[in-house]
This record gives sequence, C-alpha cells and structure tokens, in this order.
Amino acid sequence: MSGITPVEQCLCNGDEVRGPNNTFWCKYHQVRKTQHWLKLCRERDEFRAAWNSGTGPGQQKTDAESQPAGPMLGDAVARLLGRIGVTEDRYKEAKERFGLPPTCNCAGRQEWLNRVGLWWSKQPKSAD
Amino acid sequence: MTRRRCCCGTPTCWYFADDFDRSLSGTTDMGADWNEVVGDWGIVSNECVENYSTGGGTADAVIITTQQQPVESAGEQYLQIDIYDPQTGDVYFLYPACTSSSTKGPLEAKFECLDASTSPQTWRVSIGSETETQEIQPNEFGWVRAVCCVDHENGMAKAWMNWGIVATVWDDSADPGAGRHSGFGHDNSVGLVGGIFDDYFVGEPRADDGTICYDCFCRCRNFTPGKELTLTIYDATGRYACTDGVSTTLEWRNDVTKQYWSNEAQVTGPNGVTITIQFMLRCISEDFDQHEGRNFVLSVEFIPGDCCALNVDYCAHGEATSLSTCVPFNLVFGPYRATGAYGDLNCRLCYDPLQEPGITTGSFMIAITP
Repeated sequence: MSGITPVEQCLCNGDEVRGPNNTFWCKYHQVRKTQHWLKLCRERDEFRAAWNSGTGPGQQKTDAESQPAGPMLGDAVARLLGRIGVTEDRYKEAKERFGLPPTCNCAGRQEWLNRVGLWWSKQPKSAD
Repeated sequence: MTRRRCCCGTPTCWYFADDFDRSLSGTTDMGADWNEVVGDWGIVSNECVENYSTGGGTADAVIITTQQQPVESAGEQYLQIDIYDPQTGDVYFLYPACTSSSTKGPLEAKFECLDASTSPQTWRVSIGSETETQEIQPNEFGWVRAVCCVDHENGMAKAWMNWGIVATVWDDSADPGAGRHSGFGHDNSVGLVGGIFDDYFVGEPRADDGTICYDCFCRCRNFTPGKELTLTIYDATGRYACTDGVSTTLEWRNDVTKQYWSNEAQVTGPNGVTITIQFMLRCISEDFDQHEGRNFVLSVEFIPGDCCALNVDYCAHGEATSLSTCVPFNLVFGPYRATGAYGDLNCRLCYDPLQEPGITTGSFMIAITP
C-alpha cells in the first residue's frame, strides 16, 4: 500500500490563487486549469498522464498565432545551418563518408528544438 | 461465420445474416445456424415463425445463433430483425452478446407495440435502464425493423426501430458483457403465431484493425463519449479574456430530431454586457482512422451580437483540429479570433470595441472532455 490517494496524485493542488471563472495556474503543468480539469487530473489516469507529458487539454498550441512572435528555435537553427551549407543531404553524405549510417532525423530534431524553444519562451509566465 | 469486405484493400468485418429464404424438411427446425432455446421455431414461406403448428406463440420464446463473432470484438454488436404485421400488445426482443447458443447475455432490447391501430404505430423501446416511446411507420409491405447496438468496451447500449442509425434509447452505462452469440425472441402467446420475422443480421461494429463496420456509436477511435460532455473555453486572450475558464455541460438530446450534444454558457464581461454562447456538437462519420477526433464538428453562436462574423468557418461547423486526441478524449476547436482593426464591431463579448477601442483583437480555444 503506497497510501497515495488519487487526489494526491495530481501535481496541482487546486488551492492555488484563483483567477477568472475559478481557474488557477498550474505551475507543474504550465496550464490554466478549470475546476473540471482539476477533477480530471485527480480522478482520471489518462488525463493526468497527458498533462504530465505536456499534451493535456490546454497545453497544446494550435496555430502560428499562438507561437512566439520570433522564429521557432528549431526552424532558426535549421535556417542558420542551411546558410552555411550544412543541409540534410550534405550531413548524410558526411556521415556516410565516415562509415556511419546515413541517417539524420533532422525533422524530428528540428521539431524537438521547436518544442524546447516554446517551453523556454513560456517560463516567465509561471510567475502568474 | 462470414466476413465481408468493407473497403478496397482493407480487412473485413465479421457478420452473420439469415434471410430465411429456404425450405427445411417439414419446417421442423431452423437449421444448423440456430438453437431453439425456448419455443417452436421454423421457416414458412421463406420467413421465420414461432409456434407455427399449433397457433398462438410460446411465452418468452428465444432463439440464439450458433454462430460466434471473433474474440476480438466480443460484446460489440450491431443487431437487427424485421417483424411483420405487429399487433397491439406484441412484445419482441433482441438479445445481444449472448454468452452461448443457449444463454442470453445480461442485456436485452425490448420492443413493445403499444398501438398498432394508428398510423404511425406507437412503440415503446427499452434497453438497459432507458425507455422511450417512438412513433413507427411500417413500410409498404407491413414490416418494421428492430435494431440494437452494444459496446462492451465502453459499457453502452442503444436501441431503436426502423431504418437509419438514429437511436431512440441510449444507455451510456450498460455493459452487455463479452458474449459472442446473439438472438431474438418474443412474448406473444396470443394470436396465430408468436411472430413472423425476416432478415436477421448481426455484425461487429468494428473490425479488429479498427475499421468502422456499422456506425452505431459516435466514436473517437475506440472511445465512445457518453451523454454528457464538458466544454471549456481556454487560452482566451485580448478582448475575449473574460471567457477564459468558462465551462458548460454539453448534454445529448434524447430526441430523434436532435442527435447531438448541446448547451449554452453565459458570459458577463467587465463591460457589464452578458452574452449567451450556444454550443452544438455533432458527430459525423468520415475517416475515423486518419483523423483522430476529427469526426466531430462544433457550432458556436453568440446571442446577442454575431461574434463569429469573421470566423464563420469555425463558428458554423468547425471541425476538431488535428490536435484533438481520443486518449484521453480531448476535442480541440479553434482558435476563434477577433480580427481586424477593432475586432468584430458587432461583438461585445468581454469588451466593447466601439467604446474601448484599445483592445482590438483576441482569441480563444475550446476543449471538450468527458
């Protein structure tokens, strides 16, 4: 017996400072939660897991407008490398030359960097 | 056991059908596909009848198929039978998810003919804990159709009559169990025969690869949302900021003309203006495999004031976005935006763009969860 109740499993307590419409900022999940979302977080494993992994309700941004005004980090790095001649094809070529598998996962890396940049850009908001 | 090809190149959906178009020796039985559990069943003139030899039906007559559906779809069935010339007081049953060819499952769909003298006829349809009365017009040959659907994985059951997929009753907390047989029956112990039946059909609603075979339940992949859903406005910014966190319960309307979830929310902004926002969620049926959650569309209407003039595509029947998920069930709609120099001048939601022109734009998102 772990002694952990479902209520305690949600990282948000629900006793944070209340905002409009009884919402509160959950600093652990970086999302403004409603009371219903708090209930889902406490009582439903799949929702708690989604918020813990950053894909729960309210955590996803949906369009260009919701992204930072500047270029996304991954996109910016890709553009910078491209400018100095480090393209996906040339990177693969170089790996092959050194006897390494000619793989890149460039798109995945770019997307990961984009997400890191997005997360970083949101950090100041946690003081909300 | 039969498998049917659903679409080009895709795996098949299991089903079993019997049109009873055969003659059996002396009409003494129903053939190897059936087990006469209660009553005396047979085939006359290419139709299935019960207690045809002595007149008058057998009370609580039951017949169950010997055919079993695949283990993978146990407890998930679409089931139908056609009934000829029903009389006032007749009672018919569909038995989904029978645990064997001789044992019924925990659920039954009941169809009671309350009045066959009127046009349309009046029927009472029940499944699980739900009961509704339905007006039914037999076809030109005097047939009506009884239909039910059960979903063991989500613990749901629906029943209705005649054609289409509009449910009369929907119990969203009724587990049919994991049976793989099915059957039908009646409780008509008066009259010439217990009943005259035709065109029995049972099929799995989904194939084991997730292919939708029969669209009984509105689905988000394997998840079937219940009769109540929660709609939440989030990420509201700018002139829509006061809507942030507004939440309402979308309710399924148990009416054959309203097959959708709907409700409204009232928002009063710092400008003192109260706007009612009406929501209506519909389930459409396309491309279940490729677009997670995108078989849902949401209509949003603002009263008074058309706050959606610049967002008509979203507001009229916006599809859930690609960020929607089925596990966990989280439909995402939006963004709903106020754009232009002053946003939408007709919209006074949260903020009056004519009196306080400082804030001109804003947006919000909508999430729908269980």
